[in-house]
Amino acid sequence: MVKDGAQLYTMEGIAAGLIMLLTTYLVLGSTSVYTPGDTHITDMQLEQVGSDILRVMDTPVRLNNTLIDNSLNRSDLEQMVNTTNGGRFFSTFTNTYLCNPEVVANAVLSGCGDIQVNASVWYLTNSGSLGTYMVPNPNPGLSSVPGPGVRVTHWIHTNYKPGPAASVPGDMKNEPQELLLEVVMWKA
Amino acid sequence: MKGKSGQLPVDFLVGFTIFILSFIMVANFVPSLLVGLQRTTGIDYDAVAYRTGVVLVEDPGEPAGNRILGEVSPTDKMPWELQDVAFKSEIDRLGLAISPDTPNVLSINKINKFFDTSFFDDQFSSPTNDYRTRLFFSSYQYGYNITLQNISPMKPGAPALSMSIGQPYPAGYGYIRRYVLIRQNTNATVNLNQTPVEYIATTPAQVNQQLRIRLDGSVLYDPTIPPAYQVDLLREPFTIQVTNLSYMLNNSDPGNNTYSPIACRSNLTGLGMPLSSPCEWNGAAPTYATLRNIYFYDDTGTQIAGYYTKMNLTVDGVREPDANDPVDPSPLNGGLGYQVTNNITLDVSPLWPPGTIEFDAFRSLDIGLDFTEPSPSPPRTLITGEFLYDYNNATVPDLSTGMLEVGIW
Repeated sequence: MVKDGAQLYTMEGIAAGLIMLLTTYLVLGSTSVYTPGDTHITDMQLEQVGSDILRVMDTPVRLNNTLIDNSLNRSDLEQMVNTTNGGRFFSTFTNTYLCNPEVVANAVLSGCGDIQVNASVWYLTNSGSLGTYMVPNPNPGLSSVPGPGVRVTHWIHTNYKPGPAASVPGDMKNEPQELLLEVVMWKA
Repeated sequence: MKGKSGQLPVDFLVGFTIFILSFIMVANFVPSLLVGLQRTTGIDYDAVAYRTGVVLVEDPGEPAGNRILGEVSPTDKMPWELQDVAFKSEIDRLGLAISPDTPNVLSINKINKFFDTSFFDDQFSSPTNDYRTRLFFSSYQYGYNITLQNISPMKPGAPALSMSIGQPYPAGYGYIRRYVLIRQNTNATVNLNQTPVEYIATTPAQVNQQLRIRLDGSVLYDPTIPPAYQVDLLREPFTIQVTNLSYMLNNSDPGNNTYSPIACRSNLTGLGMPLSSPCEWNGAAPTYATLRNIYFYDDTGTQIAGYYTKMNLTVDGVREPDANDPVDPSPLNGGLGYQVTNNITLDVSPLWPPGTIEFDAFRSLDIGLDFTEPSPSPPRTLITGEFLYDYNNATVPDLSTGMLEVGIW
């Protein structure tokens, strides 16, 4: 690579330099962990919040009868889903819990006001297959998820024929079953 | 260098320049390689906040008594929220859930104890800070702020919940928010001015001058009731209010109170006079009854020596024996001797066994309010009977919703 006169051969010098650069790059790269910033933390927080809200909404605040399966002991969430009362569901989820302005939080989830929510319910049909419907959202602009969102699911036990016939899909099986509520939250 | 001229060859200069340019380019690369690791907060603050939130919301703490509500074995340690300050060292872990089976459902008694900074050391720089050793489990001195507030109203008459420990939030911190349900304590009112009248003697044989409050463990811990709704008197204090005692007085003027016939001592000893026969009570109608004693009776009806648990007694709006002390068990033999015109309020501490187990899911316990006049005085009150403290007679508050925030830095 070097002549007797201490002179570098051009091509060899360039090649050696490139090798050194490549080595440096590989060494630095191998010690670094690529993470997408703090987004996974925010996702985790939002997922936990969503999960908690659904759990709280699915817990009856009182026991009206010693038999837990009594229809009087239905949770708010069960009643909302059985009557497909989307307005009440989204209002409770967002205004009462997620972004309640009257509850003074020490820290606000980033862009709480920008968080959009939609929900769908999976149920058992008369033929034994799975059916699904979107919980009606009173805000028509929010019916689709434009990008990646946080997904939270919750099983809801329902023990009686859901709601008025017109408010639920006609093919829903008329017997006690577990409904799967899937809520997707994303930042608009 | 070329010969002895000290001149660099051109090809070396070209190679070296390419190397330097490339090196500069790579050096510019490095910061972008590390962007993914940059954070506004410490690397584990969010993780610690999450972990702390889980411990608080989903764990009952340690010790928590028996895992099954209503059951007690002699080896079970007293739940942490019932420990006195002298036994604070018994507390290993702070958790607010009612039981391991009720995540997100918190006990108001654990909440009150947890946020009691006169009980737990909350000093930031203190080496004996209780929250660091019993909640964060870390040798690192995390700063923290934990706040709990209610969203739906608390039970009627109870103040809104807004509790906090720790320091104000700094600029960068880890954070978690949890939504919870808050379980509150129960109470019952025995209104003696109700129709039909259940608590007044109508025959001499019924006159025992005692009202019993029956706490039936098999009713309260009915296994068909989910744990979140069970009235857990082993861990929860409760209040019994007796009102309108004046309707139970042994009134010598039946026209004044149709429920209170006249009874003399002689009536009661079976001398043949009916209870309603005219008879003056020492020449005048009583205007009060005297609460002589409060007794506890075990499952077999046998009187338990002493007080099974602490109680605060309020008679006609006046706290007895004074504003701070529970009822003193020492004058049991001599009697309490509080004159009651109308109302008694008894705040009873949790029934976690002080020694022998007398109350659990398989046993009942009676609290007897005793008004017995010493012989030969006629009774001042014809009160009798038993009040069952169950889900129909007691007031079980709705679960309140709330929000718990944990900040760590």
